[in-house]
Amino acid sequence: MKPQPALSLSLIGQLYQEHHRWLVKWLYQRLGCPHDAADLAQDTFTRVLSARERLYLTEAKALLTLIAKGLLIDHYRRAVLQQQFMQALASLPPAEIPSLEAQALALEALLAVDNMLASLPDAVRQTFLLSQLQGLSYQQIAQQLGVSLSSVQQYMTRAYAACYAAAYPAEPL
Amino acid sequence: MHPDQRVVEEAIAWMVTLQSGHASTEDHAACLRWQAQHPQHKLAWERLRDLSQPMQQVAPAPAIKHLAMQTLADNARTEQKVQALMQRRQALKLLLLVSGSAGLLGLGYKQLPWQPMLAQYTTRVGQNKRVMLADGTELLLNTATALDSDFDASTRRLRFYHGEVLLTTGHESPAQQANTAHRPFIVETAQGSLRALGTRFLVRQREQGIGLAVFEGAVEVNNGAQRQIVQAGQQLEFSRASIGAVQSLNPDASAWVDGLLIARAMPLGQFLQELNRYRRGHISCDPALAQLTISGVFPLQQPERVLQAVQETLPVRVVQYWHYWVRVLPPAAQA
Repeated sequence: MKPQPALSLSLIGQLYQEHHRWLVKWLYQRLGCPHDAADLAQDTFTRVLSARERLYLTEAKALLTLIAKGLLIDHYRRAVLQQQFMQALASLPPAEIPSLEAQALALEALLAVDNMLASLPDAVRQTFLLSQLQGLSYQQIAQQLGVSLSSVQQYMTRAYAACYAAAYPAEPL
Repeated sequence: MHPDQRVVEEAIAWMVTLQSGHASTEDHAACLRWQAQHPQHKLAWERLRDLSQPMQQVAPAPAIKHLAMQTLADNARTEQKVQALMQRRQALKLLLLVSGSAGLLGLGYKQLPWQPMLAQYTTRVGQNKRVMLADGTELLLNTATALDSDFDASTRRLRFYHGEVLLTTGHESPAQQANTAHRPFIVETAQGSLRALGTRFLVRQREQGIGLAVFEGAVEVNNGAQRQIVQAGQQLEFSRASIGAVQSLNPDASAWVDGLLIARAMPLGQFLQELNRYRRGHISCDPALAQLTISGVFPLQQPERVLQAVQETLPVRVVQYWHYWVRVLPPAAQA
């Protein structure tokens, strides 16, 4: 038996009309930038649309805030990573600073990698980065992190499983 | 057809073994035998291998490796900062922190990283925008562009930070001219300045310098060491180090104004780089395919559909790993 979609398109249309301005304002208070606020509000409704089969409308504002908060966290996370990237750039000797274009590419790539590793505990994350970005052997990683060789193997297994799941989400039935 | 969960787990076990830094030639051979046992084995293996390749492409240079580790390794610190932002609602504080560290940057140019962020006229990736200035000058900003205007009684000055802009300089009204005499129109860039001589021209940031294309009138380039006048119908690229040779104008260079990307026998590698400017993320092209040529008129508003069209026209496979990462590969995966 197929369940009824919890949110019909017309209901989402109504939701949009009634709460879009409120949501933009809510986001604006947090972001301080009207463009970012408008973008994130739009993204919020896009999420509602794409997930409508799984959503049940109990309290419209609570639902929108929940989704918008998730997007805000992503937004801030990107900003924080960008800041860490800039600080790392500042610590490089001038001769080694990559071109602006290479910087932009590397930053985008790092944000994508971060997205993939997002749900992993720190030890797993560090193990994977040391192996894949630094090219260290498991022995070296075990020494550096002060863990056993078999832990390193377990961490790598977990990280690969997370990457695979991020890239190939399980197909809906 | 997705490989079974069990097969994926086996593939991961092989990958973990081979990446250890202690794998023997016998391990590699055994992994090859395992892949040959079943098409699902091979598929799962190739997916995993493709996943880890981009990670290594991120870090070819030691400097980038350093940046990557500094940016990503300390997740606890990252999450703390994100939480603080969520609680204190101080997005602006982050901007200030960024600018605080910027004074240290050895970028070799007076442009500081926060300037583009706070610039008067900006577009995000995939956006464009039209701006009219007080003197009648029209600016068309292409994707991911930032610039500032700074007009005073003696000069009309623009500061170009990054991206691409098409300028049509305004003719000041007689009343304005009477007040201010004739004010020169200057565009300052990281690589030198441009003086417009009543004109329509395109300024674009390139990897090695600034590209200038003149459609009407003329523009004088001054990179601090040399000057060169570029006439209508000409283009060139310049940097602080040198001013490149004058070439004849590529009329397709301003097609983005109409939302189009025009390719005439353009190498695929260059085509993908162009397309990449209009979407967030990274498109990488297998070097073996970079010299394939592509022709056509493509809509810039829908980069994903253009990628689809590329796949339908050329003998290539477009693989999207997640939203940000697209790779263009040969059609049949090679072992």
